[in-house]
Parts: sequence; C-alpha cells; structure tokens
Amino acid sequence: MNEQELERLERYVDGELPPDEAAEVERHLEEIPAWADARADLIGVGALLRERVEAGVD
Amino acid sequence: MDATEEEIIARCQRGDRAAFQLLVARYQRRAYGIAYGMLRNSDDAMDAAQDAFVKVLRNIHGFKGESSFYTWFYRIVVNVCIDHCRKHRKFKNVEYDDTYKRRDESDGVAPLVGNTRPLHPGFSFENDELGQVLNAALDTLTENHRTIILLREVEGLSYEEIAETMDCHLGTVMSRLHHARKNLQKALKPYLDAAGNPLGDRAGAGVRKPRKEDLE
Repeated sequence: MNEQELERLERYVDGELPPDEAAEVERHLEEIPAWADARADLIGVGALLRERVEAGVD
Repeated sequence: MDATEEEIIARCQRGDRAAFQLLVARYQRRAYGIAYGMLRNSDDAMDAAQDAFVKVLRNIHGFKGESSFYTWFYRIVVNVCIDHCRKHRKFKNVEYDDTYKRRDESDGVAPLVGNTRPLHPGFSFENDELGQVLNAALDTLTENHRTIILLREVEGLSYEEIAETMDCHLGTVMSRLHHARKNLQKALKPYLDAAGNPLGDRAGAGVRKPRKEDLE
C-alpha cells in the first residue's frame, strides 16, 4: 500500500470518508489482504493507546 | 432534570461556584485522561487537570460559545500539559502558543476527586514492557503529533473538532495523525505481529491474527 492509500484507510477507520469512498475502501478490505492487515494494525495501536490511558484514569 | 451544559456555563459565567463544580464533575475524567495520555504520570496529570480547571474558572467569562465548550476546554488542557512539559523539559519540541497565565492558588478550585485510584499494576505506561515501549514511542513524537493522536484515539474527536481544538487546518490534522500513527506502529510492530501478542486478546476483531511466517 502506498502512503495515499494508507491515509485513505485511516480516514475510513476514523469514519471521516464520504460514503462513496468508504464503499470503495470496503471493497479493498474484502479483496486485498494488505488492506485488512493495515486496518488491523491501525485499530490495534489505537486500542492499545486507549487501554493504557483508560487504565491510568480508572 | 439535569441542567444542560449551556445552562451550567451561563451560571458559571455569573460566578455560580456550585455550577462550576458541576462542570468539574462532568469534565474531570476527560481532563485527567488527556493529561495522563500526554504526561503519562498520574500525579502530573492530576496537577495538570487541576490547573486546567483553574484556567477555565478564570477564563469562562470569555467563552462566547463560538466553538463547542469541550473543544475550548480541551485546548486549555492541552496547553496546560504543554506548559507543564516546558517547565519540566519533557518534550523534545515546543511549537504551541501558551496563551494562558500560570495558576494562582487563590482561585480556590477544590481538588479533583474520583480519579485518583492507583494504576493497575500491570497496565500503566511505566510498569510493563509493552507500556515502556509505547511510552518510548510517544516520546519520539512532537507535542502536536502526540496531542493529535490522543484527541483522536482516546477522546474520539472528529478531524474537524481536533482542528478546532488545535487551531489548525483539517489537512494538518490528517498529516499529523498519519505521521503519529506511523511512528507508533513502527515501534509496536513486534507486538502487533507476534503470535499470542498482547493486543490480540484485548483489541477485538480488528487486530489481525498472527501470520504463518510469524509462527515459524
């Protein structure tokens, strides 16, 4: 994946893409393993960061 | 019926201390959360959150409602944290305008309560290997990059809200967020890839399963 694709995926994960572009990303996620892996990494890092901060707050 | 935020703010602007305590109760967890994310130390985060509420009390007359209260409030918290880090030389880069004065103890904001329980021993930034790796990775980011990723991932702010909070363009938010994520991912790659990785059990279906080559 190139940088532009990664940035688009980030915007998708963040819910910041318009519906037509989001649909295209969803197709990529179903068809291209690299996209699914990149999404998993994005979500994983975010979850880890959230978990650490929330553990500190609780 | 609970008072609306607008009502509480209007009362605060008229000098109603009880209303201010309502505001503190409503926002103290978020203030502490963002401060803890930026400072990664519970005592510092408590101090910063306390300072932020003092500044809110001092400046609430100037809040015109042109932006949402929470983006205005986050901006204060972020600036307080940056101020704290400047004082302690914690961050490598300083790019932010600090438009607020230092705390005056005579403002008399009551100490924050309810968020002071000790960290879970295995889950803090400091107390385990993964926490230390994440801590070190956050240290490689500039203040702006660190702030943006925390506002997005921890506070769940939209790009537009982040831009408003940090007084920058949407494109800047996107590029900084991308940069911050890339750096964190790079540092955490072994943990994201490893079989039986610590994220796998906790991060839900979004985290990929170990690949065959990871297991060999």
